[in-house]
Amino acid sequence: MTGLLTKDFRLLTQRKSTAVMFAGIALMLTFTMNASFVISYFSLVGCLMAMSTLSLDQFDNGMAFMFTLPVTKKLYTIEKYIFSFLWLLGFWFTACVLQFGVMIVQKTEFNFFSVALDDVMTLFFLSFVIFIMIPINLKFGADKGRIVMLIIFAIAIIFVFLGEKILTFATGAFGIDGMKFIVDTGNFIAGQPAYILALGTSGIFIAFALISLAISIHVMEKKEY
Amino acid sequence: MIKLENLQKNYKNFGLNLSLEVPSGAVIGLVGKNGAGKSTTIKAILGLIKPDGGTISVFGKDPKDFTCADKENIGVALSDSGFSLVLKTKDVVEILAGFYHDFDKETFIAKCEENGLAMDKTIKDYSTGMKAKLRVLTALSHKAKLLVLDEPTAGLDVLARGEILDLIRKYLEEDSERSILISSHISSDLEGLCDEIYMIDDGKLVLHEDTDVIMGKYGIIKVGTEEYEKLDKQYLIATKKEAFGYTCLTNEKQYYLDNYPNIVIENNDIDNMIILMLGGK
Amino acid sequence: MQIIINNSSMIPVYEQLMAQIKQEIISGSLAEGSALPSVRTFSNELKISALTVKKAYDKLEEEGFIVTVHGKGSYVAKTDRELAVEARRKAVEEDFLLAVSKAKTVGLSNDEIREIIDIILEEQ
Repeated sequence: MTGLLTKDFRLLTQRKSTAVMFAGIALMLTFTMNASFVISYFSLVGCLMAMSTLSLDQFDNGMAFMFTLPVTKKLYTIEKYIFSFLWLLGFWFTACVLQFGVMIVQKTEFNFFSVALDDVMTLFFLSFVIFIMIPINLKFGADKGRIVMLIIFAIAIIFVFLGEKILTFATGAFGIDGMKFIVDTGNFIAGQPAYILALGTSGIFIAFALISLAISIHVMEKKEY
Repeated sequence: MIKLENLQKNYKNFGLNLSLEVPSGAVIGLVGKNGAGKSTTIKAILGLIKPDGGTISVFGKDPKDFTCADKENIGVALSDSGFSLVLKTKDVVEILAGFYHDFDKETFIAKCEENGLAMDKTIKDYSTGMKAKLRVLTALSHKAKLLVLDEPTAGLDVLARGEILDLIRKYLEEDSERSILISSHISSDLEGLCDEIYMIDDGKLVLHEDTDVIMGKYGIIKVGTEEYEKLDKQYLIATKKEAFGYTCLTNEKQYYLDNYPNIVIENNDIDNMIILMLGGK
Repeated sequence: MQIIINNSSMIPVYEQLMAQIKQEIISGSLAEGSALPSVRTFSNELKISALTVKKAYDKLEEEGFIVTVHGKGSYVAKTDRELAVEARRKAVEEDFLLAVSKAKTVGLSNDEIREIIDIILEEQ
């Protein structure tokens, strides 16, 4: 694992764009009030940068040599998740710290816990980018993977905008009010005490992580170089 | 170290079926045309592709069961795959240190600098020769017992090739159990290094012979058409029609030297053998 | 050892190797009991396959010129002195045979031949 982490870390820090990104975070945070957006944006950038190590690995038939090194496919896959999270955390944490720093300097009033919670939720949602992108990138390769991501994104957007109509239509056929069900469930969840919500979110996180990891490993085991 | 028994791998228009052995302490050469199956064989040995039949045993194990520790004992140089081009030499140093317990950092750095691979240089800016040197130095850097080298000297001038072969020779001297499987188009490199040669064509074994037999017992006979008719053909393995008559390959040079003192007989080499055995008739 | 391989020669490399090593042993420049270079070192120096050197060493051992100790290396055999003397003796006998045949062709008698030998020995 050390070798893989060293490699990925050095792959990214070679690029001048990494330094530019960090500078960008600091800059944007001082100028915009919508810190939450900035944190999300830069965390996403961090995510995508980490994902780019996958395409760098695959470039120029590099994966053949990769697996002649002391690496197993399982180890390679797991390292990608760990590295991606570490990189994401790096960006996210820096952005959060700067966010608080800026708020303190500008003497803005803020509730630490609610801001922190917002930030943690951002991290939570961005993890899903990793959980979805790694298996896709591994199965389809970095280039085709991008197209697949776009398609998934498009489907997601369609659901967001037309979801309500589709849901009502679909469930109406069975004589159930789908929307009411969703709203009721949402209210039910929101009404739960904090620790249950925390447990629930952690549970979903872990479940998705494991499923994503299992799929990725399965994809890698079948690959030949 | 390596034992292939009827290793089979099938692609759309190609089928490999090969048996091969690399004993401990031996240097084995693999020659053949492009597409003959050399890379396929090497990839199967390294566990990069799964065979369709037959058995492969490396260090007594099936490559699909390789652990990281097993792989630390194999030094690899592939012709078409290597470290990412955006990395610098010093990155490679640290990465190798992270991968191999037995990585010899000082020697690697020293050898890189001796060979013009500056620490701050990006691989993208390397010349072809430098890339080849980096690949070979990488393979030699961690005391591996088995080296698998695919075209390690491709693209290098004769002096650079000599330097790399000397590096390999020194490596072998350090530990008499180290073995090498090397594939190459540059026959002279193999002639000065390999103990045995496997020649494959279209996925099949065409010849397996000790190098010194190939160089010493085999011979090239050049005869005019008339002489050819009178020639005892029982020890001719291959024949090629020429403008002047025929070029023939024999595995009993001495027989023809003794019985035909007036015909042209030359020493054999691997290139001539390839031309005569794998070229069209 | 100063071994020079002629790549253009029709004589296989391992035979050339054997001949030159034998020569060094017989002439005494390779003393008995002295170690020969390891197969790998030698093959590296000559830039030939290790197997070629091994074949030469094996054949030399068969012929009694060297002894290989497993794990330690190859050494010039101690019985070479007799062999060398034997070989030299034979060479001298052959030279004599040639000289005697020549003498006979010229017409010298056995006594005249012995006379010549005595004169030479006295001058020594």
